[in-house]
Amino acid sequence: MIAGVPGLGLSGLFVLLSALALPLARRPTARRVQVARLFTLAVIMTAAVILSWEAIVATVDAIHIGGHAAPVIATMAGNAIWRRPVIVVSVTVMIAVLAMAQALLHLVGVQPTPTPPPVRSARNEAISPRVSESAVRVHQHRRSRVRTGVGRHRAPYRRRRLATSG
Amino acid sequence: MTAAARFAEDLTVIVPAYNEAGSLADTLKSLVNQTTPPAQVLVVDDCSTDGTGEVAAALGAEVLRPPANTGSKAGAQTFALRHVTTRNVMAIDADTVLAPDAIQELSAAFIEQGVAAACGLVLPRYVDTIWERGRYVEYLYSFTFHKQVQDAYGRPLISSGCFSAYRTDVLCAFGGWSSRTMAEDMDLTWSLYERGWRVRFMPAALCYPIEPRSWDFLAKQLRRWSHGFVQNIHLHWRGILGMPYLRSTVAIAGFDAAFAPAATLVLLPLLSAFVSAWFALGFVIDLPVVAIPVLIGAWRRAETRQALTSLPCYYVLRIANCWFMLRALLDEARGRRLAVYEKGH
Repeated sequence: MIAGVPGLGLSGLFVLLSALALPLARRPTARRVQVARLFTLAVIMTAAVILSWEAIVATVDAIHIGGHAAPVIATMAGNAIWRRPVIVVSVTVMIAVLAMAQALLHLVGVQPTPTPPPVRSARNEAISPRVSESAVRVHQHRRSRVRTGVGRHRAPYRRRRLATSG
Repeated sequence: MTAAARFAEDLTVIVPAYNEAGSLADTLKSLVNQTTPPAQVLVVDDCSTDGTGEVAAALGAEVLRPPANTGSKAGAQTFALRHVTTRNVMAIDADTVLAPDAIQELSAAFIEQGVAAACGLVLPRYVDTIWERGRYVEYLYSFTFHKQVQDAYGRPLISSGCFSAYRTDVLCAFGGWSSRTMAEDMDLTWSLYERGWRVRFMPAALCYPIEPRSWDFLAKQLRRWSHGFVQNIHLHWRGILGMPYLRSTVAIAGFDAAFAPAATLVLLPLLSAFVSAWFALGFVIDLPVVAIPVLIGAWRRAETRQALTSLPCYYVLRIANCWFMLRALLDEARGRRLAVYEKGH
């Protein structure tokens, strides 16, 4: 799920700028072809954003010149801030958020999140009978059933004897 | 023997299932029909009442049944993890179908050093209702652009729970899939990063889950996801501060989660209604950004018409996303933590 993202949500903008910066990344894990593809896509998307914004501004201007605009639109059309693409505002907010995250790092430092206790798997050792008993019972019960193929295909799963069922 | 075949030979697939008799057969058949079939398939019949276990057994899978319902997908998967004897383990949802070469494509990730988990590209199996269509665009957008950029920086935000593979020893060391948040996949992904492991996104490995068709199912799923996101930020925020790209991604996503719903649900409607109808453009102003990767992705799949007709649904779904994110933030802030796992679909 992409959280939120109305208009030019910051998440979308951040990924767009990340893609534009990919050729400059020091150690991208992607291959050059993939980097080139994502970069090209980001350039096209950026151009589309700017063009669509210009189209909106031109439409507002046309309505204003035609004298059909509401007072607010007329004010907006004459306002320099309205003409400045919303992307500039978004980038400013984005930089502020990133700076806050950076500041947080310096203020509180990194502290790894505790992980739950390890799971003892049948791969390494016999599992606890308390945990597995009922499961193994069902498992053995199922084994006794007649297995049918799937359509023309026989089930290819290789039987592996579980450490606890042996 | 190819590397992919070697990987599959040492792979167990875990399929957690609670009352999934209707969809499980397709999932198991898609595993059988893999170009490199897995060594073992464990279906966790989480005390179903619809004969899920019988369906699985009839199709040749091994069935595990816990003594009582585990309460969550994470619980069921971790229950099965104790029975895994292979070097690699994969988790897929019981309503998810894999493309025939999905395991083969996913296996390439594990050739690289330090990779503990890998996930594939997700697309809805059915694209009919407004919610499925919205999700189709959402997935095309995020998986063909967002996730690929994140992967290029070595930090996919999440290894999707519906189709991911892991190294068994690493997964066991992390305690399997934890039930401490509603988004166990995000929790695990971020935990892996914190301990220095890598996670890869393999766009050629495709899977097709059934997405919620109705509002009721969608609501449960979005509620879980939204709460899971907030819970994971609360749990991991100090742990991920040391990873610049992930820190930035999460900070931005957190900011969006906090302010975008208010802007979408309150500010834009008010401005549109009382100041100027032009402000309604704010709902769709990012259409070019969304449409370009979506249409390119759909064109490659010969689904351009479907993508075009689904685009408006994405904007409807987004309003639903905002609503549930806002509610999750408010609930979690008031200490009303979502702790009961309700299946979304």
